[in-house]
Amino acid sequence: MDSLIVTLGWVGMYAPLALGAIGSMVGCARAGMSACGALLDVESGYGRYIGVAAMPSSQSIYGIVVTMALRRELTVDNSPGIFGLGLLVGLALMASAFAQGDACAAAINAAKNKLEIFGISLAPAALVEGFAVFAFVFALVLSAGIPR
Amino acid sequence: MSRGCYTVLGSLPHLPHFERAERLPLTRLRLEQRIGMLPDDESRQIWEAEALVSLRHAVSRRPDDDGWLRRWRRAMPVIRQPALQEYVRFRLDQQVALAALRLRHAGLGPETEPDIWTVSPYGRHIRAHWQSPDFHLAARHPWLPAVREALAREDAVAMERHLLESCWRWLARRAAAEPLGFAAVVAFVFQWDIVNAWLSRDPRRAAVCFERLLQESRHAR
Repeated sequence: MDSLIVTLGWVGMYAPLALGAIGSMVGCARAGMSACGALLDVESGYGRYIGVAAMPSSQSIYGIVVTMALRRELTVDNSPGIFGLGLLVGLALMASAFAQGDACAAAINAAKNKLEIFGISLAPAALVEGFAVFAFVFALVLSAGIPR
Repeated sequence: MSRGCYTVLGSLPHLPHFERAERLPLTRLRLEQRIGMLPDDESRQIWEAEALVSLRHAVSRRPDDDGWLRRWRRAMPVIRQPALQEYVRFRLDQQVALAALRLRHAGLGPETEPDIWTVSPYGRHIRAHWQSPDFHLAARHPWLPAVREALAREDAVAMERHLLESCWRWLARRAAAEPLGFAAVVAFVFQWDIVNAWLSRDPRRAAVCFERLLQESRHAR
């Protein structure tokens, strides 16, 4: 039983990085495909669209930081906390990267038809990023309470 | 949902409402190229559905054309994407209701064209409510009263506008439910078709087309 609990601790420790990376892959791919489509329809400003497509990569970075914050010697006492915290923040990061990918794809579609709305069209993607930051910051705060 | 939809939708320009459009933002060739970025099966289904319900082919269709009805029946199992199936059924129901309005306007009964009523689920309903102004379908098809009134006034332009508007709204609603998915691609293809049909209105070409249809009907006799 102890080994199962410690195994779950390992899962929780790596979950933020793994799930954040999965989310970033899918999010960047969705926004990137939309950017590639937009390149066929515009005559200039290609870098702008590719730049927007990279926005969902931040969730991977948050995942790396949370995994490093949770990194400690795993015991029966701290593994359940690490599992719960790591898994939930990982899921939040993954979902936010999926959603941000869609928001970026929509922003690219809108901005290529009306360049003057480029900045404001990124507002939904920035809002999604804000929720990812909440999950990230509070994971760091709560990780301090898990015994070492 | 096809992953190719993101690329295709990203490559499509903004399509203005058909009454505000001054020109097509994309040629037919470019549209085919962009839709070609979808997986082969999905793009084939789109063109299969387009051949059935596009407004481009509508002029050459005749209600008593057995080949057309056979084609409907053969194509429906091939079209598996839900958004396409729903639009094809919507257009089928629209065509059947419109045929019923035209027959009744000409003083004919449902028995004149017995085959038409078998292709749509509404066929039997329409036959049963032949004397009702909108066949008791106005709740499901809100365009029916306006089209019936335009037909009574013999105002062909108003009738076409109401029909195109109903198709446009149906497609816009379906695309809004799935803004980055296959439904949005389907909506673009058929809204492009609507803009194309609206911009192609030309009295001289219509006269030539009318003459051709007249010749065809004389030969048929």
